[in-house]
Amino acid sequence: MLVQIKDLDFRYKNSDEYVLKNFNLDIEKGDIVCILGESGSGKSTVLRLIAGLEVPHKGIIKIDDEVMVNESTFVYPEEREIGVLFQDYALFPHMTVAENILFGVRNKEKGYKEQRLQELLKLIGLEELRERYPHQISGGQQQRVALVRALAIDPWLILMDEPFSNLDANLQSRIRQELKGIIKKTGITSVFVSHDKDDAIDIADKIVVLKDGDIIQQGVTENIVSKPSSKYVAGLFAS
Amino acid sequence: MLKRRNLKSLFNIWSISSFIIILFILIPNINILLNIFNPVTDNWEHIQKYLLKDYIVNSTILISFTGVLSILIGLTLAWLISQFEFPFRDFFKWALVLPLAISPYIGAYTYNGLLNYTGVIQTTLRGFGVDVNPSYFDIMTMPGAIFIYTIFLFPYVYIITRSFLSKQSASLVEASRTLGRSYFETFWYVILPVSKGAIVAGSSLVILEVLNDYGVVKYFGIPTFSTAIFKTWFAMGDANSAIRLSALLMAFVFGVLLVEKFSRGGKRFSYSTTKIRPISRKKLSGIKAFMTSGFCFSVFSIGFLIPTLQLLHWSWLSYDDVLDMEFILFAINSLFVALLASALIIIIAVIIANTVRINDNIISKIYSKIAILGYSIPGAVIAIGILTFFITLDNQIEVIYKLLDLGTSGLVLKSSIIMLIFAYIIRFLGIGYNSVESGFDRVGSSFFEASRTLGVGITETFFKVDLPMIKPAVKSGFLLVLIEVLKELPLTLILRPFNFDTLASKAFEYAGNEMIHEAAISSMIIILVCGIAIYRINTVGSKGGKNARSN
Repeated sequence: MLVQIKDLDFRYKNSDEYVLKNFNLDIEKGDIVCILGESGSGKSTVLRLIAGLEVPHKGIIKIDDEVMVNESTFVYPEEREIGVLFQDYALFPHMTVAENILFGVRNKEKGYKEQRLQELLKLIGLEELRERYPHQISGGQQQRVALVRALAIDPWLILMDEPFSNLDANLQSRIRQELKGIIKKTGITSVFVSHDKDDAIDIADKIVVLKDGDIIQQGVTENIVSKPSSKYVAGLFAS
Repeated sequence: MLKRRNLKSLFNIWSISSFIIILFILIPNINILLNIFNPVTDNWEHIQKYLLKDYIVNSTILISFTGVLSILIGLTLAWLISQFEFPFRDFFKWALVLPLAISPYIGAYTYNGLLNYTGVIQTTLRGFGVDVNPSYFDIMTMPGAIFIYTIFLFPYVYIITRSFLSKQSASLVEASRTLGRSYFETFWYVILPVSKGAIVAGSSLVILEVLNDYGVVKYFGIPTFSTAIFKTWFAMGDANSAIRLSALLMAFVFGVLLVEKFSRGGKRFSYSTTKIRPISRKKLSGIKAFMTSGFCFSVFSIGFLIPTLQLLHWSWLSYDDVLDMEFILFAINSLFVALLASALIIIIAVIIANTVRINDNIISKIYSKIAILGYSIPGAVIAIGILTFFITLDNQIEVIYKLLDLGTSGLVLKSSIIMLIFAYIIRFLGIGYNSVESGFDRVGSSFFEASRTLGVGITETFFKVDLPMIKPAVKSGFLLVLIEVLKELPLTLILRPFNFDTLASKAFEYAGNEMIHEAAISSMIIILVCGIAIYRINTVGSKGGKNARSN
């Protein structure tokens, strides 16, 4: 098991209501998992907790059997080696595409960095755009740069927060396939959250359906789509 | 749960630096509070019996009238600039901020010079054979002080309200108009209630500036808290009574802040949709356009053009006598101190703002409140707090001075520029802090989080990611602080070392000695630097806005 989340409790500051209560989730190595749910279901919070951007009140998170969080430990986001693709991509606007991609590649020789950059640019087919700034490339290109920037640090897994929500509807289908292609090529374990069933069906091997902080159903994508366990899950996949 | 993150947050370099800075900011204020409990003196009994009422009444009249008039002028101009297109609108948009470059005390002696018996107005009238009673032109009165404060401080209301109005939805105005309301009715029933928060914020700044001011009331001979604190400390040599007056003035200020909070707190309006269509300005033509431009030009002239031209004329008459090597050296000295203080303030503001952002907890919230506290406290109060603190500090570490052979007086820190710079930091940190904080708010947290998930720590993230992105806000903050430090008077007059002058203190000293022509050159340098800074803030602001989150 690559990621293990056990008995996790979490609520945001200034709120008495728990977003997650006794939350449990396991993610296997190599899986592409979609956490599917409506807004307010707690799906992005799960991602932020795995990345170390939020501190849980209780519970354990392990990655590759190493404890990231328990009663006595908290590993900081910069020490977790987890790649994150943010909803708004968060590309640093004052850095070029190349500088953005190599931002997390530190303490390495110049030759290695250049070689890594070439590999990653080739992976996303943007070799020509390395000196452009984020605002000089399209939304789809920005997303690919943000993805390989997260991949550049050789992470254990990659987390993606609503990766397609910022794209035009007519672009989404093509970009989904591109993203899936890149993830499959690298073989990296991926977890992404979405409210859109098409994202889940097109990309994920497994789906976790979340409602009000509780997992309603989880399993292989085909099984979830063909055998929804409740009206709510069936409603999510109704076209 | 034992959290490594919390431990690290408590003990990282940002938190430790912020804690030390906050402690230093608090000490002088605590010093005042502790000293209130000293036994009262005969002077205090005299002040309480005969003078205190005047201080309270005069201060109340000044802030009430100035507040209301500033709202009238500032709000009207903000409405016109944000709603209509008329000749020279783009020029007036930023030129109407320029009166802020002229300190009220400079404006006061300039207008007195213009209007007195030998001034250009009465001389011209006499030249045309018009004989007018000179007392009609006497500006050194309570209404005169209200006029001076209003015309040089209204831009606070104008800037904040204009910025608020320009972000309002066009639908608001259009809905009101299609429901049969005129522009004036729309303004009165729709825009005014919605803008209440911005108007109160702007007028509170005006009121705090009036309570802080020493130059105008001293020059016009109006007894207020500021002049009383000076008089008690310097003329009567009664530190205890000065501290008591300072504490009373602070209570007065907190009263104003409470009223502000109460006025803003009740209702907050927000849009029911996130899609806000900006207002498209209505083009004015004919007499309406002419009158609107004329009104803007009148305010700009009274608040900036006329006093500046008069000062230029006086500078021309006196430059031969004033401009010597000594003047140039002290002007450079003054600018250097202002630049140094502004740089220190902005560095401290960045440290505290970043700490507050990283640590989202109650301690950070307290830090942020303390950082902006100084701007609400009048200069004279801060000066008294710092002076008593430094005298105590000097006494405590006198042994070290003797060991280092740093003089026999024992007041090494008190007689150094360190005390003045420290006072500037406390007084103006709020301005720098607000600017930097708004920069962080604009950038958001996702870049910071992205950097950390890429393996980069807090400090490195700050230098590589945050700082380049908040640069426009840092530049604006630096310039805003520079303007205030250059113009500052009460702190400088009380805390400057012996034989040290700033451009502001020199101008005030000349004006006080009826050497108005000689005061003009120092004043012109202040206005010039502040004018350039205001222009730069305008350009930095719009550039920052365009580049922010360009991806």
